[in-house]
Amino acid sequence: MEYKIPLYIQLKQLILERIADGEYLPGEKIPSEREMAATYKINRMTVKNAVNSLVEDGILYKEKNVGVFVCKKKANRLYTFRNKEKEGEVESSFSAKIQLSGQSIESEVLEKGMVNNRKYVEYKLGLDEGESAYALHRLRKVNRETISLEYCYVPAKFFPDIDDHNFEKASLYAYMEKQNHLPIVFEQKMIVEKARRPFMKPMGLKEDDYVYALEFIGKDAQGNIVEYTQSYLKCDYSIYQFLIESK
Amino acid sequence: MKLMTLDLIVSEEVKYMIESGLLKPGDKIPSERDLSEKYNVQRLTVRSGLQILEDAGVIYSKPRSGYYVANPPIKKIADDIVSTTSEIQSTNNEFETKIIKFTEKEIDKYLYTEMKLPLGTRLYELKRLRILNGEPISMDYSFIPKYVTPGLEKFNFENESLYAVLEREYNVHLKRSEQNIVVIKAEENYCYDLNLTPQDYVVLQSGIVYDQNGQLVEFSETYSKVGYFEYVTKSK
Repeated sequence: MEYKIPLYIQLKQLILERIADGEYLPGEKIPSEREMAATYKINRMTVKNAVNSLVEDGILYKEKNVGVFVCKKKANRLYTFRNKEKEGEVESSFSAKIQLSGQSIESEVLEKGMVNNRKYVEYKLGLDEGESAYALHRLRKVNRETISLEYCYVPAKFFPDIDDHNFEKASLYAYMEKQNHLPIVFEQKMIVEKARRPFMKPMGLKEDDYVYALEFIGKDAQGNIVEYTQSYLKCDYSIYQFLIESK
Repeated sequence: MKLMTLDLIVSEEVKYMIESGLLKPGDKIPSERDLSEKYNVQRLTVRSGLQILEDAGVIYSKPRSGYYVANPPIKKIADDIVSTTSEIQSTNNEFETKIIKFTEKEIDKYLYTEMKLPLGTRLYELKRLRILNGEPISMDYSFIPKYVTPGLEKFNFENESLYAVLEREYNVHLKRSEQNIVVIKAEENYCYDLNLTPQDYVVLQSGIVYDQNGQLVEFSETYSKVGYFEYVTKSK
């Protein structure tokens, strides 16, 4: 028996994807049922079913005589951290992806400066013994709530004037791009761990809390390793998501 | 504020020794005294650094003997659809799968919210316990619509990978997957098999796999002990 995914489910998926991508932002109006029926050439009843289903799921809400809107996120909603691979999508680190979804990320720099003779950092950045790295330790916040703690290391040799910049205001990647060393290819590892003592206070965590411990290495277009970042994200109220297309 | 405390730095230097292969699983970590001399720090700092690694499962302690390098976590490829069975088998570990349940059932309300198939659709439910070096590490639930794989009951999933059977016997090419990872408190229907209590936390990985036609092939929920699986991606 042939089984096709019902149209209303396909439409639901499509709307959810648009929301996840940031095409439909929280609080924004989505196309009307009539418009969607015309665009996708499907029955208005089908559109109605898809929309009602998403209203039931708490993703959309209807305002009478005005239209259908994407629910604004609640205070203790779920954060979705994503590692996404989609055709045609520009590869970027997860923090850029959170930004893409329409929410703004703020940074608070906790520490910064040159580091030397840290074997682990040299190893991850592919540096020679004794070569310097620049360390940037930041808290990342979304809507003023701390969601992650980042230890970011870059080879000092590619970024001689990096210490002159304030990365609370400026974007690190924008600066790296100007120096022609923007990371475009990433290798990432993620494991769930108990939060370590030094993270607890800055991240507002307790003894028994868990974090998604991420490590990623970024390489530029020439194949140089330009970034090594350890990132710790709160597990509470968040989901780590992988969207996978098989090779 | 000092984020990168000395004990964290020491723990990273030891981690370097392990990741670069200078120390292998089962090797003894240098003594507290050696490490404190090498890095020019107090022994208390070393102790604290090693504790961090022990908490993370990177090293383990043998009473009155010291610390040893633990087995690394199993790598789960997160940017391709790979069977868990084959991922664990490819490591140097003793691995066993025990079938806890293999039955047919109908979609209920809970499965409907996850799979979006009509209530009453017949499914296979496969519940497998994964045992690594004698220790149960995860409980895997797989739900497959019967119309995708009629006759699935004749295969023995203690010896075979589910995905391998899907590809080989049913010509199903796994094309796309959405996997979600959250941390939750362990639940009754699997925690005791994992030697855990409802006070412990587990990593729940749940997801759906679609075939090349966009058809839902599997909904799965894997409950694993914290620290045993690492998700790895390599973008091109």
